[in-house]
Amino acid sequence: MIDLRKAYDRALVSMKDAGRTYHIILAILLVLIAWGGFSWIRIMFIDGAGITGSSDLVPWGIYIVGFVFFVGTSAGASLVGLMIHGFGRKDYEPLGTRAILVGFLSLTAAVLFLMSDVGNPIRAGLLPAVLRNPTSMLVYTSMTYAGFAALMLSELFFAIKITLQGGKGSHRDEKMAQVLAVGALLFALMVVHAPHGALFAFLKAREMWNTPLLPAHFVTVALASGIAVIIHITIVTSKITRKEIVSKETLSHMGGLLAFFLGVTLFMDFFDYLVMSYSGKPGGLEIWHFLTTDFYSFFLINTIGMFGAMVILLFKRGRTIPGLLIASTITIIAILSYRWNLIVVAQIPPLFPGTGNIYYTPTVPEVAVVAGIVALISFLYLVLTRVLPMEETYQENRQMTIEN
Amino acid sequence: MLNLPVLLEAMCSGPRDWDLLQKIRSGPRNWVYWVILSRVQPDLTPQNLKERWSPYRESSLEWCITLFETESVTGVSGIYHPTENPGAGTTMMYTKLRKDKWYMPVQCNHCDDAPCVQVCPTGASYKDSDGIVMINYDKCIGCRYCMVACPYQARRFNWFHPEVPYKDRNPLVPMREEGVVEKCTFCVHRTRTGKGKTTRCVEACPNKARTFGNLNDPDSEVSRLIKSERWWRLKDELNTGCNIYYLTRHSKKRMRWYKPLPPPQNIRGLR
Repeated sequence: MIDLRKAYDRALVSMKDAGRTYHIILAILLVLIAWGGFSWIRIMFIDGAGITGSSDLVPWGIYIVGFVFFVGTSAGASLVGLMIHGFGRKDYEPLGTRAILVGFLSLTAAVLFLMSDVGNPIRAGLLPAVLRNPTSMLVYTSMTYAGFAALMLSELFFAIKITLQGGKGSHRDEKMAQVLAVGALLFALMVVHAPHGALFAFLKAREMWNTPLLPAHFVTVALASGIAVIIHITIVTSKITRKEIVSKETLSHMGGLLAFFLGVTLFMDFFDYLVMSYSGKPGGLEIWHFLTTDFYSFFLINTIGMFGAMVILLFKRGRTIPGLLIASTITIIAILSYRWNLIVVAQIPPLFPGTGNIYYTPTVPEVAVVAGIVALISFLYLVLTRVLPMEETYQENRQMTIEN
Repeated sequence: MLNLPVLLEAMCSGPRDWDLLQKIRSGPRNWVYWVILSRVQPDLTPQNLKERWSPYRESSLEWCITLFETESVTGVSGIYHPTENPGAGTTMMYTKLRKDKWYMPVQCNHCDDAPCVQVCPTGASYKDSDGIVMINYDKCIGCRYCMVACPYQARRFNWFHPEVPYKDRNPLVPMREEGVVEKCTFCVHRTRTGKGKTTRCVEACPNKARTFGNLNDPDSEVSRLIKSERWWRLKDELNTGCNIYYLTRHSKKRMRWYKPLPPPQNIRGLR
C-alpha cells in the first residue's frame, strides 16, 4: 500500500531541493501558460476565432499542425515500453516512467490543440454524447483518445508500483506491465495513428492528403518523432542533472531505431513526391509548385533535415551523445516542418482556377495559445518527473553494483 | 479481328463515364431534386471581355451578393471568383467586383454523396429527404472538417459573433451563433412552403441566369433544360453527384469536350 503522506512529503522535499534554475524555468513556463490562457479566452469568448490566421479558405491552421505532431509523439513514446517489456531490453528501464509521461502529456497537448481549434469547445467536450455519424473518421479518432489515455495511465500506475517495490515487482504486476506495454503500442499505431492518417486521406477534395500512403506515413513519422523527443529529453536531462539516465549503448541503440524509422519515412516521402510530380495531375503539380516555391524553406528543412539526421545516425561514430542530440533536434524540427507542410500547403492550392493567392499566417494570439499549451505540458513534465518516483538511473544502478 | 483504333479509343475515354452519365440521367429518383442552372459563358476570353462586360452585368452580380446577405442574414453563400488569375494577392471573395474579371457563381452543390455529410462527426450536416444538404447549428461543434472536405469551398465559418441589427434580420431564418459552419440552404424557408416560391437568388437575378426547380416534375423548366445536353457540373470526376448544373450558351464547339463518347462496339470483354 502506498503511503500518501510519505509520498507527499517526499515530493515536497524533492521540489525544494530542485535548485534555483529549475524554479526559474517553472516560473517562465507559468508566465507562458498565463499568456496562452489569456489568448485562449480572448479567442474563445471575447473576440472570436476571427483573430486567428485561419480563414474560410484555410480552415485548419497551426493548431492542427500541433495536434498531429503531438499525437505522433504520444505514439512514438510507447515504443520505449515495448522495448522494456516486449523485447526484454532491461537497459531501457530507467526511461520507462519518463516515456509514459511524455506519451500521456503529448496526448494531452494534442487534445488541447483540438479543443482550441473547434468553434464550440464546450459542445465538443460532450463529443461522446453527440457523436453519431459512423462514416466520420473524426468520431473514431476522438474515441481512441480516452482508450489510449486509460492505457497509458494504467501503464504509469504499474510502472510506479514496480519502482516503489524496488524495481522488481510481483510476477502479476510484471505480467500486467508487459501486456499493457505491448497493447499500448499496438493500440497507438493501429487504432490511433493509422486512423489519423485516414482522417486526412479520406478527403478527396485535397490532392495532398488524398493518398493511401498517408496512414502508413503517419505511423512511421509518429515513431520517428516519438523516439526523437525521448532521445532529446534524455540527453538534456542527463546534461542538466549531471546524471546518466541510460547508458551510451542504449542511447546508441535508440539512435539506430530513429535512423531506421527516418529511412522508412524518407523512402515513402520520396515516392510520394515522385508520383505527385511525375504523374502530372494538375492538383499534384500545384502542390509540388507550392512546396518548391512559397514553402521551399519548410520543404528543405523537412527533407534535408530528415536525411541529414539519418546520415548522422547511420554511422556508429555519429551515435555519440553530441551526435544524438544534434540528430534528434534536427529530426524534431524536420518533422514539425513536415507537419506544417502537410496541413497548410494542402489547403493553399485553390480549389478553383483563379481564386487568387491563398495564404495563411498564424497571428500572435494563435501563437500564444500554442506556446501556452507547449509550456503547460513542459511544466507538467518537469513537476511530475520530480514528484513521481522515477526508476533508478543507469548511473545510480552502476554505483550500487560497484558498492556491492 | 482486333480493332486497334477502337480499342485505343476505349482505353482513352472508357465506357465508365458514359455509364455514369446514364446512371445519373435515368437512375431511380425517389425524392425531389432541386436544380439551379446558371447561364455562364465559358468562351469568354480576356480579349473579348471588355466588349461583353456591361455595367448592367456587374451590378447584377453585386445585387446578387447583397441579396444573399440580406436573405440569409449572415455570410455570403456563394464564392464569386474570377476565372482568370487576378494576381491581386488576395481572394476575390467579399471584395468589390472588378470589370476586368469574369465571375462565376459557385455555391453549395447539395451533392447526392456529399463529402461534408460523410465527414461530419456529430451528424450536424445531413442530407434531407428532399435532397437538400442541411446543417443543424445546435449540433455543430465547429471542427471545420466539413470545410476542408468540401471540394467546392461552399462552407463558411462564423469567425465572429454575428452582429446584425434587428431590423435587418429575416424572421424566417435563424441566427447562427459564432463558431458554427453555415452554407446555402436553397432557401428552404421559401422553397419548402409549398407555395411555389423559388430561391432568393433566382428571384433577384436580373439576367435570369438561374433556374431552380424539381427534376421529378417533367414539365418543369429544369427538366426541359437538362434535356439540352449542354450542361456540365463542377468537378464531376469526384463523383459527388452535385445538383447544380451549369449551362453553356455557345455549346456546340465547346461541349464536344464534355460530350461522352458512345460505348465502343465489337470488343471482347467489353459490354
